[in-house]
Amino acid sequence: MRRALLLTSVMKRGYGVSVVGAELAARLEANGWKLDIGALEIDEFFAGAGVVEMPDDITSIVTYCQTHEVDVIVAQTSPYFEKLPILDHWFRTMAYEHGDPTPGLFPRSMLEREKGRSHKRKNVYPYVSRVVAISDFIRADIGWPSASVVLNGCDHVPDLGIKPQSEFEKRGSRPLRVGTLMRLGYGESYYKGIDEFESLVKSHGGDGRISFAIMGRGRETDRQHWNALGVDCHLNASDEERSSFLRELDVFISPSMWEGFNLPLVEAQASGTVGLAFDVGAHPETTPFVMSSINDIEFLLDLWSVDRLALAKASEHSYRFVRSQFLWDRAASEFAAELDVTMGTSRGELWRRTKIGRMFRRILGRFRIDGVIGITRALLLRVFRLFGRNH
Amino acid sequence: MGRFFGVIQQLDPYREANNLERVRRLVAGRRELNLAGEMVDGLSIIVLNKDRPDLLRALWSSFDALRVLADTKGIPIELLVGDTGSKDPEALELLRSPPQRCRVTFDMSYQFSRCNNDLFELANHSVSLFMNNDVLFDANPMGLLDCYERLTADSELGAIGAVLYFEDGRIQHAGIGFLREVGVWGLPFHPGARSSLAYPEGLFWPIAAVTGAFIMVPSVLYRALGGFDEGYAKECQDVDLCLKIARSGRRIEVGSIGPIVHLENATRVSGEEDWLDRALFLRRWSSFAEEL
Repeated sequence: MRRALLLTSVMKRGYGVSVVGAELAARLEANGWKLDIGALEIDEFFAGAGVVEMPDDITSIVTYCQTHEVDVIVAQTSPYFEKLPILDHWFRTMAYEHGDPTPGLFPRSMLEREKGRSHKRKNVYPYVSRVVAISDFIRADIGWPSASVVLNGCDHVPDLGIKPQSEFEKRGSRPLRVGTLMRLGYGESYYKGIDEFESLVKSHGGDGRISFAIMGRGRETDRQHWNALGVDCHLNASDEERSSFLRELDVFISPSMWEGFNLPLVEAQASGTVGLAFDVGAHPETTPFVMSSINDIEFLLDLWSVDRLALAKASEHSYRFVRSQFLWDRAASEFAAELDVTMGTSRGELWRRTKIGRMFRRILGRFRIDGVIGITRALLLRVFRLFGRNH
Repeated sequence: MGRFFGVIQQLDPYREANNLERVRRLVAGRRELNLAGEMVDGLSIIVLNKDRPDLLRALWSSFDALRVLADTKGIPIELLVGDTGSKDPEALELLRSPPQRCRVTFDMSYQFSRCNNDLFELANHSVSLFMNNDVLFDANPMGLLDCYERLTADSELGAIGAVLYFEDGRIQHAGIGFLREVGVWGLPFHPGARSSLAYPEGLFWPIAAVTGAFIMVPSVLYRALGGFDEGYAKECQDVDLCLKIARSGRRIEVGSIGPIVHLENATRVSGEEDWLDRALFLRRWSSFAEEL
């Protein structure tokens, strides 16, 4: 069995990248690959077999990979992306792109963010064995058309089936329950659409036909803010609470202005709840209900608040769409195929295998890490050690 | 599954639209349609025209015949014509002397969605029929009233289109479907077009979408949906509207209502494909169309 190491910034509950890593790791063995995961931060939920803390320095990564005979290193997030060109001198590497939010949505850090994207286009993607994106949108957004696409799955969400007609009829007497799930707090508001959700609440929350709810990681002040607007706010929920929240909603709205995939949107639909999202990011790939404006959302909320039969049909449409498109088994099999291709990459194949080739690549690698001074220092140290041993 | 990265590069929905542009378009929002007054029962027919006095003459006489029939049935009707820059003296003369219950708006700058929406804001009736100037209904004006009665009798019905014929009797349009081939997945097409199929008159059947050359919609619904989306420059705005109607849970039907002729492209050059419109349409609707 071959072995790969997935490097990611966090393995914590509530993070999409963590779900992706864990689901792939659980299924890749059936496809001939063992996937270890190295992360900067790990919570108690993910700590354990196959998940290790991994500092973002080359020596630690190389040491781990040599000790564990890793064949392919996969970076899922920064700061590991930036290490791949160096690591590529020892190992096959893959940039597994989940994308970065559009810099133009962050007025204060736009230039810095743009620089980060540009750096990857110039200094990372050309120097790795393979680039894989999580959606067609990401492939276009990162500016790397030759990237392959492996879509995520949604079947980590318990399949409770479509909501029965009777449930919609029963709910018909109460206000339409509309909600969203996102990281709360205004640090997130640049692209997550918090303002849009809030304006929807203000325009529709008071008429008694619609009640709003929000769930996410945040602070007590966030809860107070939303409660003051009449919104039912759930902070830092467990996975079980999250599943039940998504199922209990009548309509899930993602007001986000950029998403590389949007796992919560897909999870809501997989829970039997219709999911609405704007025509931005990868939403056209992850929901059949793509909204071209806030007016489209308002129209549907007004309609569904009185016509629960239409809501039932839309919910079923959403459920069938995601449950047929997004399967982790399929994702794992496609991902394994990408790892296989990465292993078979012919770039410098023979050259890499020769002793002199390996030595040259190591020197080049050290040069990229330490520069001329670092290499000279290392060489001198070796010479001194050698000298010391002999005398 | 319809993946977006197709074999026709022009149809790649992300190629020409970066995310910031999409956000700007979204934030700008869509047009709110304002009505001059309260809508009353009846039929408003909305037609855009440029030159072509032959078509105008046919429209005037067909509308006269329709008005007589509508009066006998007690259905109020009106014709709203938008002139998008006629230069032909004969056409201008005809436009200056329209038939009864017809109003002409001059000096419109052609953009299908915007012009139709502008005329809609002048409409007075509960049902609106958007029709091309090259659709000839003189052989059976009664068919239009059949559509009106069918639409007003069924609240589940969101739009009605008509089977349209070429002059030689072949089918021009009998509804719109969606391609299911990789690379063009979700792209609208006209099933049965250019065939010589004969549909019995009076037959209506459900369909995914109908052409904007002849589409009858409840005015309240049209207004609530924001009318034809003005983000489309030339194409796909009709199918976009139909899918919005379908998304609201209502049915769309196409009906055989007699020999309604569509000359097709009488005022627009054939082969003027707008790939950006098509890519935009695919981005918004190809996932929805998968379950249709």
